[in-house]
This record gives sequence, C-alpha cells and structure tokens, in this order.
Amino acid sequence: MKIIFTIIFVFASLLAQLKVVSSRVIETNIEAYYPIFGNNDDEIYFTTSQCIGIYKFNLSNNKFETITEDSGAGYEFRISGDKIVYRKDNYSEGKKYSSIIFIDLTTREQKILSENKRNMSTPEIINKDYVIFNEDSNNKIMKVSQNRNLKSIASTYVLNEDLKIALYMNGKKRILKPVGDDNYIWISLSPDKTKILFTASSKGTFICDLNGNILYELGKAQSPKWSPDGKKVLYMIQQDDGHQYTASELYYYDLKEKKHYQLTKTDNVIELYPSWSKNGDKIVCNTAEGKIILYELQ
Amino acid sequence: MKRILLCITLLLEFTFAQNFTGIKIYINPGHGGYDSNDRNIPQTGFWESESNLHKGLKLRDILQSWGATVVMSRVTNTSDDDKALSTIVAEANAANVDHMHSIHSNAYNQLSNYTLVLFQGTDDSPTYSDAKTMSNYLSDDIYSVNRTTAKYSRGDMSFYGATTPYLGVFKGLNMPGTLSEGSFHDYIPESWRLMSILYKKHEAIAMARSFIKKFNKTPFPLGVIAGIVRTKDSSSNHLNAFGNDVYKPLNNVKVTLKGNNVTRVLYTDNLNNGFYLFDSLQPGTYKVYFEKYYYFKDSSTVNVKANSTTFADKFLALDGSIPAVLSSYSPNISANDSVYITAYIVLNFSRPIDKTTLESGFTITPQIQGTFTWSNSDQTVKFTPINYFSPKTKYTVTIPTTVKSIYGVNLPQQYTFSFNVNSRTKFSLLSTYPDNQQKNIPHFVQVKLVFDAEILTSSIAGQFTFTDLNGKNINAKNVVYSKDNMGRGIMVFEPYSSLIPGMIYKITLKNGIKDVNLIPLGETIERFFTVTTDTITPGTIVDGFENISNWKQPSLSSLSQNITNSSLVLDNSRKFQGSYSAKLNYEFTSSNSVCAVEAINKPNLGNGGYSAALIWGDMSNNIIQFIGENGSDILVSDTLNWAGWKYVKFNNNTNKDILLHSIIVKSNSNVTKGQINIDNLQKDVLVEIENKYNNVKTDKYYLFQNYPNPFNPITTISYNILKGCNVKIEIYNSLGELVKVLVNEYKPSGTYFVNFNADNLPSGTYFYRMVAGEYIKTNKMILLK
Repeated sequence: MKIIFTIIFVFASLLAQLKVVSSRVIETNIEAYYPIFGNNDDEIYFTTSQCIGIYKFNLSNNKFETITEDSGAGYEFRISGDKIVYRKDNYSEGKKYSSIIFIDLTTREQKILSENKRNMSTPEIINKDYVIFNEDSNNKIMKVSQNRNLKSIASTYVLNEDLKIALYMNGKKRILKPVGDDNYIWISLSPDKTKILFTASSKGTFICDLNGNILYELGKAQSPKWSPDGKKVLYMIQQDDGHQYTASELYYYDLKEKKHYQLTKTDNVIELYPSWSKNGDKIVCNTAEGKIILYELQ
Repeated sequence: MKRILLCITLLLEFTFAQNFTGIKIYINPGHGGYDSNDRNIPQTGFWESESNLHKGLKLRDILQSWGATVVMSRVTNTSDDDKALSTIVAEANAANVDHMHSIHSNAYNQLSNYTLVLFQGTDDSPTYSDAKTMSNYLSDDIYSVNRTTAKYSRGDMSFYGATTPYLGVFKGLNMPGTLSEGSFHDYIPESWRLMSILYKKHEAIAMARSFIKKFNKTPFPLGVIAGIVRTKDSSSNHLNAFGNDVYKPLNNVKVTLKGNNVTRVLYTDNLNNGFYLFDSLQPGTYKVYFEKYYYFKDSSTVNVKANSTTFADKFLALDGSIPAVLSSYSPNISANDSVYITAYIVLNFSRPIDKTTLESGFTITPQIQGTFTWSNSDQTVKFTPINYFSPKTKYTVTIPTTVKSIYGVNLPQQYTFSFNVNSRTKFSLLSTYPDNQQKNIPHFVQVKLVFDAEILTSSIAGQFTFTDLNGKNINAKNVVYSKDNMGRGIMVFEPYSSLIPGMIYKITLKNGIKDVNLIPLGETIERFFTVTTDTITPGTIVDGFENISNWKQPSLSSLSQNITNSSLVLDNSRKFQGSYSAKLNYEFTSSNSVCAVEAINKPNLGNGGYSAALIWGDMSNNIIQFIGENGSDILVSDTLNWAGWKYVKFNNNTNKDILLHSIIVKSNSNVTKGQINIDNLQKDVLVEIENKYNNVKTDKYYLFQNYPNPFNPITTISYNILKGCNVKIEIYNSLGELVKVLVNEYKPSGTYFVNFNADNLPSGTYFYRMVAGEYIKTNKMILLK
C-alpha cells in the first residue's frame, strides 16, 4: 500500500460539489480489474484483466483473500450482504458453457444454481436470497435458501438480453430500445427502481424512465454507475489509439444540476471502471496497468 | 440490385454443411473513420479502418451463412464508428459471445510484410489457452492466403515486451480473444493488394477456416483458386519491392475459369494488384484462361482441394506487333469552349511510345516552344509551353504516322485536334474581411479572402504571410480553402491565439499564388487591419455551453417571433474553449423577426463590472442582443458584422445583480438565415479600454518604423494622421540627397500604408522623413541587396 502523490483537481467551488480529497494505490500481485466495494466500505472485490477469479482486499487490515479462481467469475459478479453470486464459464470445442455459483461468504458454503448451460446471463441478486438470471434465454428466479425456482417475483430488475434492455416488472418482461437500434451496454436500474441508466454504444449514455422515455442525455460517458442515493452517475471518459489506452479520467453527472464534473485529471494515471462505495464517499477504480486506486470524496 | 445479387451468390456459395447455429462471435474491425489515426497510405488510397471493415463484413457474411450469430462493433466507416476500446470490450462481454476477434493490418518500415496474430498473455502462458489455439489457427490460415513472408502467433506481453497485458481490446474481456495483423499495409505492393476487395475476401475466408477448426466443425468441402497476374516486361516501380513484387501487376485482365461444369469470368481491378480469386469451387481440375489486349493469351491448369486455396499466379508476355493508338488527349474541348493560357497538352497512348519519333513529329500551330514530360511507362506525354499560350488564340496539334511504339510499329493514322485559349490572364482578389485598413477588429477574428476563382492550395506555401506591423509572423489555425456556389475561391483562417489589442496586422499575398487553372495573381497584394484597442481579461464562467440543457429552443422561447427552422445545438467543430459551443441556427420569415434562446434558470451575471460572452459572428449585419431579467431590458446590442470570436460585453454599474433572460438575434438586413456560436458566458470580466500597445498611437500623428527592415527591394512605411493635412514623405540617401518623394498630398485623419520600391537603388542606409502639419519625424532604414 502506498499513497500516491497525484494532483487532485477540483473544479468550481460549489459546496455541494464532490471533490477528491485523497487517493491511495492498492498494490496487488495480479492485474486487478473491475473493483467494487463489498457489503461494507472496508472491503474491495476485484477480478483480473480477463475476468478470471474474484479476490477481496480488506482495507482495514490490508489482507488479500481469494474468493474463487473460476474462469469468468469476475465479470458482473454481485454481492448482497454476505452473499456473492457469479457466472462461471468453461469452454468445450470453442463454445462457452456457464454455471451460476452462489457463495455464502461467512460459511463459504457454495451452491451451484445452474450448471453448464449455453447463453447464460450474469446473475442479479435481490434481498440476499433471490438470484435472477437467464438460462438458454429463459428467465429464472431462484430462492436460494429453499433451492426453489419461482415463476416470478414482485420486483423490478433489468437484464441485458442480446444487447437490448430487458425490463422485468412483476413477472412481465419488456424489451426497451429508448434510442432505437443500437448495441445497449452498461445497463442498470436506479436505486429507487424508477429509472434506467444505459449506454447505446454508438450514441452515448442516457437515463430513461421505465417506459423508455429519455430523461437525461449524458453524452460520451463510459462504464456509468449510479451513486447509492441515485442522484449522481459516476463514469469514465476513456481514449485510445485503437490498440492501447492512452488516457482516461473520472467524472460524475449531477442529475439535479444537470451538470458534469471532472473528478480526476491525472496525466500519468489511466483510471478505468470506477465504482461507488456504499456511503458514496469513496470511489474505487483500476488503472490500465491493473492497479487499484481508492479515492476519497468530500 | 447488383448488391442483392452478390449477397445471394455469397450465401449460396457458403451454404454447405457447416452448422454454426448457436455459436456467437464478436468481430471488431479495428479503428474507424477517415481520421488522422485511421492509418492512411496516400500513395495507394488505402485506409486501414476501411480495409479492416471490408474483411470483417466478409467474415460476418460467411459465418452468418453457416448459422452463427455475429455481433459487429461497426458496419460502416465513420468517425462515430471509432468506438472506445472499453466500449468494444463491454459489447463483447454483454453479448456473451464465445470468441472475440479484432481485425487489423500492420505497418512498420515499408519493408516488412508478415502475418501476426496476438492473444493475451505470454507466449507460453496465455490467459485463455483457447485464445492461443485460435491464434495459431489464424496465423496459419491467414499466412496461407496472404502474400506475406512469415507468420507469428504471439502473446501480447511477449511480443511487446510488457510485464502486464498490453492490448486494450483484451483488457476486461470475458472470453478468449484474438487480434490479427494480416499483413503490412505500408509495404506498397501489399497496400495495393489490400485495395482489392477479393484479396480482403480471401483473408476473410482464411479466418472462417480458423473458426471451423476452433469449433471443431467439418473442414470446408470447397476450395479456392487465387493468383496474381503480372508481366515481366514492366517494373512495378515500387522502391522496396522484393520477390515477384518487382514486376508490374496487370489491371483489367480477363480471367476465365472452366471445369466441373462451371464457367466463371472476372476481371482484375484497376488498383495495381493483379489479384483474382474464384471461391466455393468443388474439388477437381480446372483451367484458368488469361486475356489482356497487347499481351499474348495464356492459361493454367489448376487442381482444387477442399478447404484450401490453390494459387495460380501468371506472367503475361507483351505482344509488340499491335500498333499504339492515341487513347485520349487534352485539351479535348468543343469549338465553343476554351482553355486558360496556363493549359498544357497531354497525349495518352495505348502502348509505350518511342520518344524520339514523337518529339520530332509533334507539331503545334501557331508554333510555340515547350517541353515534353513522359510518364506512365512512356504511354503518356505532356507538352508544356515554356511561356503561356497566347490568349484568344486557336491552336492545332498534329501527331503524324511517323510516330512509333517502342516496338517499332507506326501509328495506324495521323491525329489532329484543335482548342481555343480564352482571354483570362489574371487571378484576382475580390474582397477581404477585414477590409483593408479596417479598425476595431475582434481579437479572435476569422480572416476571409475571396478570389475570383478557386485557389491552388499548393501555391500558397511561401507566397502568403500574416504578420504584425513589427514583421513578426502570426501563426494561423483552421486554415480552410473552399469554393462557393459562384465558383469563387475562399480562404479563411484564424490567429492561433488572441491578437494584440490596438496592433496593426498585415496580410501579404505574393504574385506566385495561383488559381486551380494555374493563372497567377500577377501582383503582390497587401491588406492591413487594426485590432480593437480593448484589452479583455476573462472572468468567471457562468455557462461554458458544454451542454445546452439550461436553454430553451428558439421555438419555445418567449421572445421569439416570425421564425422557422431555428434551433440551438451543441457544436464540437467550433468552440472557444472546452468541447462544445452552442450554435444558434436562425431563419427569419419577416423583416421584424426575432430568434431568441431563453434561459431556464436565468444566469446571474453579478454586478459592478463587465459581463461578456464569446460570439462567433456571421457577417449578416443582423443584430444580437442580450436581454435582462424582465425580458425587455437590452443589456447589450451589437451588429453581427464580424467573423470569428468576439467578446460581446456589457457593463453593469449598479449594485444589483443582473440576470440574463435571453440571447436574441433580430433581423436588420436582407440576410434571413444564418448561424452564430455562443461560448463562455462570463461575469467579472476585466476590460481595459485604454490602448496598451505602445508602438501604435492611433490618437496622434505618428511615423512608424518601416517593415521589413532591412529590406530588398520593397518595404512598407505606415503613418498616422490625427487631423487632415498635407502629408509629405521623402526618402534620402546617406549623403543627404533626396532620392524620392513618396507622398505629397492632402490626407484625411487615419492610418496609412505606403510601399517604397528601391529596385533601382544601391544597398545602403536611407532615411524617410514625414512632414504633416507641425509634426516632423525622420526614421532610418537599410536596403540590403
């Protein structure tokens, strides 16, 4: 662990505006990617540069832990309380077959919710006990504690199905294309479940309501993430030469003010894939070289 | 219709037994658009972004015809298609594909030409073993079709000597991925091959063969015949060419395939690669026939094998017995048409010509001396008069039958043609903005020069200067040449940074500038303008117009009236700072129209000082106004009579904050349609009205130092007159002898410029003395020849 002495840029002087007040590089022995905070803000979970395995770093005691070394596990895994759920991939004759794995982080008990299926989506987890995923294009809802499949659940959630927004509300599915034909990525539901954040890969990043009406146009904003209170969106603007990343900085968009704010301006650091802490007072991201950086906000 | 037919043919060709149903593949044709980072080879017209896309689309078509689900990162080639690597990775991940492949070509030193395929990891320790396996397949298969010298399948860390994963398109990727650099596009013979749609299709077929192996499918039952048709009788003329690339590939060769109850015909393209390809052929024996006029016919017998390519390259030999003919010539115009005095004569023959027989036999009446320039392997000759053609004259050219091909065969007939030369002898500057000697010009002016014909941009170098009055060169940016709908040539440019308040600037156009018909300007033209004396220090940005969410569209703004088709949009092509400005497009429907944009949350511009916004004017002479909080107070009004960025500013000397209600454009001229840009609305702007530039005292009589100095033989002397009076400027040599009276006449108040030509004077020190009323001043200047 070391503190990096990087220039922290603060733009404007509004009291409500977030700014970075400190930063910390977390050295790992592997190339770390897609870091997120765990159930509490002392834990950071991350994967490797091609999503193999899930690892945990404890900020309070600086200890590393391997959660799994499964292939594909690090892509879009979900944590709820002391539970983690992820998709495990393996390849046979070139084809990807996936399983949904559920782990109780306290007991380390592991459950395989679905095994070796084609076209498996990444899972969502609701209330620590309900896991939702698509298996061979069929939506599945499992109550894990009872190892039981449910037909539907009185909840709202979104999945990415064939690069389109699949909105599930009380058991009914609707495919949304709020900005027309495009490849829809980085889809997520707001914390209050009233809005959808997404990127149409050739048009930019947007927020729409549950009917697909555009509410906010964020422009070029990659890997956008809702703040815990749903009032801001954290994102990166990444540049490259077609082969390598050449620059990336972190920004956030304030929905109330409809304004963009730059959080970092570090010529020597390429910040990628930022994520909020549960309290919204920290963000974590990885660099292009696979280091984790923790920024504290104020 | 043709395209539909081609698609159907392709589908039929590849619909054979392969079952890729359920397999998902992501294809990323690397780069995107025709931008500076999209790897252009100007010599051949090659763009890597375009070539990668062609290969990717062919590969998609083949895989889809086998039932695969293919997701493309792009299917067109625009700048908008140039997606960020993180976006490409996210698409592949979200599509949950079985494999991601990124298609590229390589460049290095114009000499190398090998096949390289990369995967993530080291050579011995790939992140995904499946990726290395596929990389090996791809390097084998692409190398087996492309004309490369070697093949490599490497881990990106090993290849680039990196300690962490190197290629961005693999970082964060959740499946095996590969990146192919099929060949080197900066090796010119390969660059021409990559212009062939069939050559790119061949690489796509090779990649499809690799996917068959990866997914353990039945080897493709059909085969391919491909080859390059060249002649050893001509050189390819490529400096770094090696092997058979030293020989000239033949364009437009008719290639006929016969065998197995199949007859197919194609022609090699005209892009200097000689490449042909017949795909989807049942295994067996075929005969390929090659035909091209002036060459002896030839053929090859070829055995086709399943799932592979059989090459049948061919060298065609020249048949010299066929006489050359005049294929085309210029000027080739009607009797009612005419050419400029700068025209030249070009003769294109069907075969290489014996130079001596042409240069001795060629006649032109009336006679005019000129030079012959040969090109295109002596098939083209250009006759350029040493002096221009005479205006208003008819010329007749004759090429007799004594002219021979290089094989000694005479032309079959005599050729004669005539053309008229028109009366235009001069390229003219019609107008400028700023006008000559115009004052009070914005600090960020866009200078515009209008000529009577389109400018030959290559003639500008060394013939155009933009300086201040001290002779310091001013860097320009956004230099654009264009032609308006009246055929007039337009040149616009902007100073790279703010011009100095009060400074006089000079634009010099020298006589070597030409129009596209090579008609020269014929004289040196100078234009002067003076920048506004206000010095402005930017204040606090209230709205940088990086988004326009705080502004209503014109049609929804309360002050708008009598407008149509008006809009406020973000503009990233013209901005003062940041990424965007706001562009207001207005169109009036009456003479009292108002196009307004109204603020939703009224910007607070503070009190007790200046506020301003940068406005890009459109020279329309319409009126721009900033309207205060109540919707009626005019905070500032200005006439849109400038081009470039101008601080439109206003002073609030009260102690009450000013809130901005709207920005409006009102009709005030016969221009009913236009556009302005708005950027950096700001408060607390510091404005110094006083003239800061000490050398320019426009409120006094003043004789400036000449520029340039030393000079040879022309220099400019400028002076300022406060009140109208008789002005006399005399030139003296170092002995005190009067050399010339440069000015001796009444001059009204103003700033003046006069040129002194010392063409007939020897080098030395000279003095120039101005007497204007009671003002007398003498300056020294040096003539250096």
